[in-house]
Amino acid sequence: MAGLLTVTSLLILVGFLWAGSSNWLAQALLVSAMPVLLILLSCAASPFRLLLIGMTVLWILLGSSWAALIWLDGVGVRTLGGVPLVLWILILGLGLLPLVLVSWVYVATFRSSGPGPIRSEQTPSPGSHSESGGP
Amino acid sequence: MMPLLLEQPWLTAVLALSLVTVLAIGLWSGGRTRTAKDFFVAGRSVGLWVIAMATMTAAFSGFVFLGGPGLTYRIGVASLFIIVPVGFTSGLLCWILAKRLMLLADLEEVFTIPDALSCRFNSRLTTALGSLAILVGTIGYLGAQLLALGILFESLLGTRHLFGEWSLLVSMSIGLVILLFYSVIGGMVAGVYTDLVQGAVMLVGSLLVFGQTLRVGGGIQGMASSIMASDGMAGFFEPFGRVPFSVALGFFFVFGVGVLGQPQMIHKFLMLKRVDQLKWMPLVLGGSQAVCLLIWVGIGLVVPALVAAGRMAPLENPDGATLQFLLGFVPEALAGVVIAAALAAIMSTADSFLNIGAAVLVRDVPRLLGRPVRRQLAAGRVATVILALFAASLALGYGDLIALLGTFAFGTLAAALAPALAVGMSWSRVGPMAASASIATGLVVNLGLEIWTRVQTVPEGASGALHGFAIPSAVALAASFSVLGLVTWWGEERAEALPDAVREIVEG
Repeated sequence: MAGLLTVTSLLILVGFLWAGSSNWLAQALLVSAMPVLLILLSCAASPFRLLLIGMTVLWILLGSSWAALIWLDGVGVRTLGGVPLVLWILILGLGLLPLVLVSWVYVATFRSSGPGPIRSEQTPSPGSHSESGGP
Repeated sequence: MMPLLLEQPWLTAVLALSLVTVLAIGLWSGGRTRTAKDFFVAGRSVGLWVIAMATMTAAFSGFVFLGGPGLTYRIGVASLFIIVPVGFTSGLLCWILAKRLMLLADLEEVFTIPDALSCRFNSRLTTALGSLAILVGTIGYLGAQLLALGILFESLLGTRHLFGEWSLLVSMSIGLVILLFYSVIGGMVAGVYTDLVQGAVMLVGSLLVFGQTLRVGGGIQGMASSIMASDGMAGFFEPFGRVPFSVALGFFFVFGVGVLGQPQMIHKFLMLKRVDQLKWMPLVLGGSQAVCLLIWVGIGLVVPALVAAGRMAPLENPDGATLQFLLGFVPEALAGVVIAAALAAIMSTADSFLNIGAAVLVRDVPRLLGRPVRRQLAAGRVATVILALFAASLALGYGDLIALLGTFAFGTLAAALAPALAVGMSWSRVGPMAASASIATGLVVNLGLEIWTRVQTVPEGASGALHGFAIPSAVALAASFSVLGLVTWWGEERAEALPDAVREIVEG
């Protein structure tokens, strides 16, 4: 996961530096993958199927929203129910649906997806690390 | 010109009530602030709702209320790429950082982000670079907030008419006295509880004014059709508005991932009482952010619609969009609530940075120099005043410099701190060399590119400042992540070098 994150960062860097880059979809998919990879890396020791599925859905949701925006670029303003399609995609596809998804997956995987158990159950002896010479 | 407050008594009453409440909380919390732990992390005894509100208000400065709608007027829906990442940023913060920081704080005395870096990497260089990045970002953010506070008070009190060229100084001083009163006396205890009140004002103001924009503009459909029918608003609803694709993507990247490097938000997790309270944090924090951002969307759409329909004169200064709408189309008392919300947003962000900056000066720097300060509570209060006066002086004397620092402060903190914190807290193999290289890369690349883009010719399709902001920060953030990964892969550092307790937290 860390290797994938590093390669993704490098490709994003190249994408932003290379002004002539025309592969917008690839750039958008890479940028959308960053939060997903960071979350998966942070939970690498406790991979849950639900977390993995949730993060895959998040990437698909973000990536497909960007793909739709890129497709809409230059084809004129399309509307749905009198509201520009761009606004629907931005607010629902990139904003509200990810919020609902992420909040739900976080609650559903809370106890086991993060590092360590609840604080009161795992309090190492105070100062055990500070003696090792931290500034 | 008559001061706004004399013209509109209801507006004055609402504003006065909100300021009196803030001062009362400052007095109340002054009695509850007895130790440095109280002053810097509110005694680590705060609950979910208070922390969620405090994080939200610290994240949203006056830019959300005043600058955001103006930016939408200028560049169209592309401005929304700045705010839509709230859909996942609260989850990102909680998954990656919140729990780990709280557990680290159980191991050692972790009051600040440099404390956390020290605990994780056990390196003076990494901690020093982290402290430097926070100090640079703090002064930039703080200066910009104090300037905004002064300008807002100047409009409300009409001080230009009375004091002429001294007007900004006088109005900024008034704002500074109120801010310092509660942040010095009450420290973070006052900070988080005023944030709770200020957050509530921001949420209510946003909801009410969003309803008013729908009423005035004829719903989203009515506003959209007015804008689409106007030649003057061409490009507004293009997918990337009036900016190039790379700028829109840069906004999304920097504000989506860069949130992991914002100490004003991350610091709040150190104040939470129990880890299990984090369970609902993404929902509460993300939900409150989404509600608050309704003002950006609502005013951002209604003002161009009103201009397109000829009901409002075209704006000479887009940053005036919110105030023009409030004063022309909103009942007086509601306008008062929204202006109080804008003031709250500015003051809560400034207060967070005052506390973070004071902590760097009083805790982190002296400890790095091997001379820890004994009376940290008193020293913290003095440092808060000094920092505020320094930032205010810079803002008054070097307005352009502060504006520059303000615009790139978010990017600086993002590029310098996000990779070291996010990846460093999740991957035990990351060592101090990689973390230091990443922080230094973020700082140098962001500052260098920011300066470079400002001396270049303005690119077509976007203002220099906008183009300059999104791309340099995005490049610096990607470079900082890349350097962290590459140095870790090529380096000799091993996870075994970490103390067991820390490795257990990092690896989960």
